[in-house]
Amino acid sequence: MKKKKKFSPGRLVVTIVLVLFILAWVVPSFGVFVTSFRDPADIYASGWWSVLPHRENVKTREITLPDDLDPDQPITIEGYTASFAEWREGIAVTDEKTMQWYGNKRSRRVDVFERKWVGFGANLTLGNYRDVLTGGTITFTDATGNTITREGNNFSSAVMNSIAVSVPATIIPILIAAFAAYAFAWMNFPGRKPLFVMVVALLVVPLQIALIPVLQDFTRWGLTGSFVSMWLAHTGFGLPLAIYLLYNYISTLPRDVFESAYIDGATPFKTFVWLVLPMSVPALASFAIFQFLWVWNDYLVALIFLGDRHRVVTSALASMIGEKGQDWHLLTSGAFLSMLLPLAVFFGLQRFFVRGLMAGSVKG
Amino acid sequence: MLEAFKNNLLWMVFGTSTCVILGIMISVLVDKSKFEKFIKALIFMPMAISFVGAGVIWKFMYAYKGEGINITEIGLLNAIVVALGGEAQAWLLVPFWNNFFLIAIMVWLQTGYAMVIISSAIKSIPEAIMEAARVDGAEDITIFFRITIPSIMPTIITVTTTILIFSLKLFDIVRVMTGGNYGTNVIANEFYLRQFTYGNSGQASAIAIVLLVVITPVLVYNLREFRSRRTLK
Repeated sequence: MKKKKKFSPGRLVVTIVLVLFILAWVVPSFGVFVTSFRDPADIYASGWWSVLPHRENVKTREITLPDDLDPDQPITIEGYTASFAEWREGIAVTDEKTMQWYGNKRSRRVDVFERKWVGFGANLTLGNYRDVLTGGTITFTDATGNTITREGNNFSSAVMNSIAVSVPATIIPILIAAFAAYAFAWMNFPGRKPLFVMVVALLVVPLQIALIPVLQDFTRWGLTGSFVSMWLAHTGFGLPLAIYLLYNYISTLPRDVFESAYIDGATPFKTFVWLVLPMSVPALASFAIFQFLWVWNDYLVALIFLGDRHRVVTSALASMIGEKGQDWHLLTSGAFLSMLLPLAVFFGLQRFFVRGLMAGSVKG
Repeated sequence: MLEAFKNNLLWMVFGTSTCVILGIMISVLVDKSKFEKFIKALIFMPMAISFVGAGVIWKFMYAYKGEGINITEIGLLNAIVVALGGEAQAWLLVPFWNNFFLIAIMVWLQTGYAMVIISSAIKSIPEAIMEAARVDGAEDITIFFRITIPSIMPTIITVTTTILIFSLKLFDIVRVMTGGNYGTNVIANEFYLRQFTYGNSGQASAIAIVLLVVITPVLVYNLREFRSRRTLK
């Protein structure tokens, strides 16, 4: 059936609603993105939207009046006559042009403003990124011209720490879960069923349940604050979902494959490495992306097990919000840096990510 | 403590329902539109952003400069309010309502999830049913309430429970935005405070157990579903 596209009030309303949704979803991030490139002083002086092209009164030139001019008499400037008070207020000589006396009577200066299109990338800088990445001291000028000195947040090392946490914390659970899922799907061993029921039950258990005992154990073993503690913690918290997702996939692989491999004399391990792993790449990719984004964006686990010794991007950003709540140039560039990698992964591999979500994602 | 529970109830009721309703709305409105993929990707995008990052984004939206003459608000929300003739507010300090400004952040983050799952459910409704309804002269609204919604009900339930659990455990947003102050505390933040600020593991564990108890029905439901599907032969 073909619908004729014609103008109708309903369609118009739908379009307007959709545009509003898109704006509400895009504008907040866009604002942070734009602000991260603005000069610190500008950020406090005007909203980020002033970077967008708009019409504004821009000072185009100054007129210096002769010294013998008496400001107490009506003053004629370029053919327009008015009293000092009126000049001080500013006079719109045409729709496009405003002239205004600058300062007190002795200044003898008149500024000419014209309405112009401004804001095509005015005064953008990469300095905020430089400042937020460094671990040393940074200085910047605020809106009132004061020079401010701050301790840098060393975001570059936070990014490295995040990578050091996320990559192993993604690979380790995948390896374990792939073995487990294969065993649950295609091997018979005692306790197979109750163990799998436990996996399903653990899917929704909030991780807060495990935090305190795990933290006590880690403290006893001297692991707190180390990357190993993060890898172990994320492996544990990620495994139920990993096993469940991979099981769902691996158990649907055709039985013939396993039978012919068995007849050819392949051991279960060989079957796993040479058949199961290559055939489950889509499921492995789905979970890998899911887990990577989860670990990268995690704040609670990092806050508790890593502490301040090796800050990852989320904890570095969170402590920046606490210490430098008004330093928007640092906050916005830090926030954008923390999103760069997940957004790239997300847009590059969206298909796999959505598949992982669909397969059940009530992660604890 | 009671305040944390009350606030969590707000999160669970208003946060979850808003996410799900917006998710349904967007997936229906966008269905078969020319820009469907593009629009969905934009709404879905915050799923890739950390809560802390979203915290910065929305703290900037809510930014408030303070009182004084000739102050240009740099927070978009306040700028809009001022442009409409209203008065700038410190949004995160407004008693009671500040909870909703925080919930808005979760809605912003999670609606994409609801939308993606619900939208794929809508697409799997057989076209023949829709066609039959149209032939019988059903209006779009009738089709929506009589066919679309009932067909995707199981999906709606799944999405709702997922987001419910999610909002029950919610921690990062509150921690980063207000630290649980100004009457915005939630259970997960109370857990953190008891354990790490007051050093009382016993009370923190008790809170964790409460969380587990609240989640148990979902857990049992999941297990039943699992049994009925007999996936494990």
